[in-house]
Amino acid sequence: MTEVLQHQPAIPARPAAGDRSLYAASTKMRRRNAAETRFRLYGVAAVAVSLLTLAIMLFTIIRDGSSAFRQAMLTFPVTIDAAIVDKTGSRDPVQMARVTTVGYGRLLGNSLAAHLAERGIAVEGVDDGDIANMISKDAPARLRDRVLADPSLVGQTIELTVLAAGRIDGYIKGRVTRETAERDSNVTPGQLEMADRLIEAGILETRFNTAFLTAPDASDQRPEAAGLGIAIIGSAYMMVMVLIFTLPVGVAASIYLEEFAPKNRFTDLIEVNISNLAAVPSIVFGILGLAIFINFAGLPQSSSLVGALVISLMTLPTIIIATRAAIRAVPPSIRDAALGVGASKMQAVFHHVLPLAMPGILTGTILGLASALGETAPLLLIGMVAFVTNYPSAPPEGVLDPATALPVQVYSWASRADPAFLERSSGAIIVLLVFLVIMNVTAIVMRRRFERRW
Amino acid sequence: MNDMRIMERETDTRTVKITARGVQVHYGDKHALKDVDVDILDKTVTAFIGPSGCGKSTFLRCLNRMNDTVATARVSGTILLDGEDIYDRRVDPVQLRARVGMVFQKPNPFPKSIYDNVAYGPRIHGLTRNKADLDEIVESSLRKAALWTEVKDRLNDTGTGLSGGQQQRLCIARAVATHPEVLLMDEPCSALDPIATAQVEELIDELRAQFSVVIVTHSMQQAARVSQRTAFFHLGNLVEYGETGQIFTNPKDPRTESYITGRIG
Amino acid sequence: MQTDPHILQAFDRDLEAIQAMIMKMGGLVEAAILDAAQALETRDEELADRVLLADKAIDALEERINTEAARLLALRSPTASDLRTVLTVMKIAASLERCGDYAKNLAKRATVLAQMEPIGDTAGSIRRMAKTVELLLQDALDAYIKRDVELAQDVRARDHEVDQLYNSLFRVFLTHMMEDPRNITACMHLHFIAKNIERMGDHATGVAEQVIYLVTGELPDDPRPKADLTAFARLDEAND
Repeated sequence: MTEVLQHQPAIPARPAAGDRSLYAASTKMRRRNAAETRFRLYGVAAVAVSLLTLAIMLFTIIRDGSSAFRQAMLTFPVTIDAAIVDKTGSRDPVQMARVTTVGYGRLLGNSLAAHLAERGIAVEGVDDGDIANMISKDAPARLRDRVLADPSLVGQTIELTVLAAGRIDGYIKGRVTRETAERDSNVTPGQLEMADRLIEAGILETRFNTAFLTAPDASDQRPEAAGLGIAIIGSAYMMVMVLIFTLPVGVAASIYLEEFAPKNRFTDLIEVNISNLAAVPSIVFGILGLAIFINFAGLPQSSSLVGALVISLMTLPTIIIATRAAIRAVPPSIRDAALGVGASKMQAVFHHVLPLAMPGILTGTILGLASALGETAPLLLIGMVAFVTNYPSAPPEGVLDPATALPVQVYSWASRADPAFLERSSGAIIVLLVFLVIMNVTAIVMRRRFERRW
Repeated sequence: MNDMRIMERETDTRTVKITARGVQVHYGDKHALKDVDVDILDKTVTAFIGPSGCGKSTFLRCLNRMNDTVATARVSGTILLDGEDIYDRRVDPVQLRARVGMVFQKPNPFPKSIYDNVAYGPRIHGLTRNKADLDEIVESSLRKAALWTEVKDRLNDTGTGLSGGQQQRLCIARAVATHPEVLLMDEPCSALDPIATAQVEELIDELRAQFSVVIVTHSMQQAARVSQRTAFFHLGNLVEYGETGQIFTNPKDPRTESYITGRIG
Repeated sequence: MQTDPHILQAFDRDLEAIQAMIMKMGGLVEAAILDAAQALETRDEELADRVLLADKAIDALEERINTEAARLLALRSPTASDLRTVLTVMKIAASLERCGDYAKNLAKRATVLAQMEPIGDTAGSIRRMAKTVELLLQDALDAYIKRDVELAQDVRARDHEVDQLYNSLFRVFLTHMMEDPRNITACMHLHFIAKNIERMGDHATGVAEQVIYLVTGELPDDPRPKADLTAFARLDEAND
C-alpha cells in the first residue's frame, strides 16, 4: 500500500498553449475587469459628490450662522439712580414697577454718557441721544427686571454688560458700513465712529452670547435680543410628548398586528394603509390637526400639545413599521423554544421576543423622533409660527401655553426683513443640526451596544 | 470478567404512556399524516425514522400540540396522555407543554444567563416557592443533562456562549427542569459533531430511566443505537412499529427493509 | 488497539457480553475434550454420556453468539477494531462448535470402544494428545482475551507437535491392524478419534490466526507449519 505514494509523476513543465493558459488574461476577462473598475469609479464619484455637497452645505451654514453666537456688548458702570427708579424711596417693588422701561433707558443713557466723560473719550459727531441709541432697546427691560427682583440695588453703582444696538452689532460684523449708514434711519455714521472709539477703549466688544439660546424671540426692532429659548423649550416639550404618545401605542399596535392578529384580508388592508400613511405629505397632517384638534376639540392654537399630537400622528406609522421589522427579525426558534417550555403566547412575546426586538424598536423610535424634530409644515398650519414672548410654564399646564419650535423659528427669522435675522436663522439651523446629530449618534451607540449582547 | 449481562434491550416496563389512534393531520389541502395508531411506552426511548417529508416531525409536534401554532394545521383523531385526551377543549396547551417537554433540532438557548435559561420554565409554571428551591431545580436539571460540572462556576454567563453540544445539553436541561413525563426530541443531534452527538445519545440513554423519550431522527444508525422501540414512517403512514433489534435485523414490512438497507429514499 | 471506553456505555457492555460468551463456550469445550479423552482411557460410559449431553449447551451458546453478533452489527455499526472483534467472535464460535462436535464424537466412540479390548497403550497416547490439544485451545483463547500476538504465534507453531503425535499414532494403528485383523474395528474407531483430535488442533490454530487478525488487522502471511505427512503414507513405510 505504501508504494502508491512514492511514485508521483513529475510536474509537467510545459504550459498550456494560447487562450488556455492561466497566466494570460482572456479578452472576456479583460472586458469584465474593465467594466467592474468603471463601476467602482462611478461609486467613488457618487460618494465624492455627496460628500462635496454635504461639505458645501455645512460650510455655508457655519459661515453664516456661527456669528450668531457672538454678540456686541457694552460694559460700563451703571448708577441705579433712586431719583429715577424709586421716587418714593420705599424700595417696594410694587411701587417701583410703575416706572417703565423709558425711565430705565434714560438711566442707562446717562450712565454711559457719564462714563464716557469720565474716561475722556471724545464724543464729537454724536449727541446724547445718539449715545443712548447705541444701547439695545432691550437692555432697559432687562435692567428693570433685575432691579425689581432685587431692590437693594437702588442707589448702587454696578458694572453692567448690556447688549449693544442691532446696527452697532451689524457694523462690527460687517453688515453695516458707513455708506449704508448714510441711508439707514436707525444709525448714523457718527455712531459708527463712536463705536470704533468705544472698541478702542475696551467698552464695546463681542462676547459669547448665551442669551441666544435662552432668550425668547424679539421684535424686528431688536434683532440682537432675539433668542431660541422658547423654541428649544417648545421643541423639547413636543419631543417628550411625542415619545409618550407614540412609543406605547406604536409598540402595542405592532405586537398585536405581528403576533396576535389573524392573517386575513382585513389585516392585510391595515398593513397597506399603515405603509401609505408613512408616505403622506406632512402638510396634510397639519390641515388634519387644524380641523380636529383646534376647530373640533377646541385645544389652544399654537400650543405644544397640539404640535405634539400632530407630529405623533405623523411619526406613528414610522414607528409601527420599524417595530414590526424588529419583531420579525427575532428568529422563530426563540419563540418555539419558549412555547416548548410551556410559556403562553403572551409570555413568549413579552419575556423573549420583545427584549430581543427592543434595540431595533428604540433605534427606529429615535430616528423617528429625529425626523419629527425637523418637521415644519404641519406646525405652521396649527399656528406655531406666532410670535411668542413668554416662556411656557412647566408641564402639565405648560403644554397648553403657546410655544414655538426650532424649525419654525428658523422659518420665521428667515422671512424677516432685517439681515441680522438671517444670521440668527443660520445660527438656529446650527443648533438644530447639533440636536439631530446627538440623537442620531445616540441611536447608533444604542444599536451597537445592544447588538453585542445578542 | 463480565458475567454475561447481555444488552438490556428488554424494556423495563410495559406501561403505555401515550396512545394515538387514527391521527390525521392536514396542512391546508395537503394530507400530511394518515391514520396513525401507535402506543408509546413509559421509560423507553422510541425513535421515529423515515425519509424527508414522511410526517414523523409532524406527528411529534402533535404530541405536545405545537401544531397549534401553525395556522393551516388541522389535527383529528385521538391522542391520550395517561388516558386523557390532549386535544380536549378543557386542556390548556401551556399546561400540557409543562408535562411534555421538547428539544429542537437547532440548539436554541434563550439569550439569557445559563441559570435563567433553566429557571425560566419552573418560574412561569410556579413550581417553586423560593430561591433555594429554584437553585436546587437548576442544579439537578443541569446534573441530569451532564452539564453541571462544566458550568457550575459560570451560571451567570450567557447561554449562547457555550459550544454546540453544550448548548443542546442546556436545552435538554431546560426541558427537564419542568419535571416533564415525556421528552420529545426533534433531530436533536443533527446540528452537532460526532463527539457531541455521542454525548447527547449517552445522555438520552441515562434519561430513559426517568422519562419516556420520543426522538425523531434522520439517522437510522442513531435510532438503532439509542432506542428500544422504533417506528418507521413513510409518505404520512406509520408503516411498522416494533422492538428496535427486531426492526433492524428482521423487519416485517418490505418497505421498512427497503428504507433501512438504503434501497429507497 | 483502543482501550478507552465508548462514549455510549451500552456499546461496551454489548462487546464485553459477547466476549464473555466466547470464553464460557471455550471453557465448556475444553472440559468436553478432557472428559471425553478421560472416558476413553478409563472406559467410563457414564462420563461419556455426560459429554454427549453437555454438547447441547455448546451448540446453544454458538447460536446465541451468532444472534447477538448480528444484533451488534445491525445496531451498533461497529468499525475498525470493534468490527474485527465481532467478526472474530463469530469465527471463533464456529471453530469452538466444531471442536465440541469432535469431542462429542470422541465420547460416542469411547462408549463403543469400552465394549472391546484395549489396543496397547493407544488410549493413553490419545489422552495425552487430547491434553496437548486442550492446552493449545486454552492458550489460543488466552491469547484472544489478552490480545497477545506472540502467544498466538506460539500456538500456531505448536500445532506441529499434535501433527507429529498423529503421525506416530497412525503408524501404530497400521501395525496393529496388520498384526491382527480382529483389531481392525477398534483401530478404525481409534483412528477416527485421533484424526478428529488432530483437526481440533487445526481449529485451535485457526483461533490463534483470528487473534492475529484481530490485533494487527491482517491474517498471518506465512503458511501454517504442517507436519501431517499421513497423506503421503504408504503401506511399505509402515514396516520400517
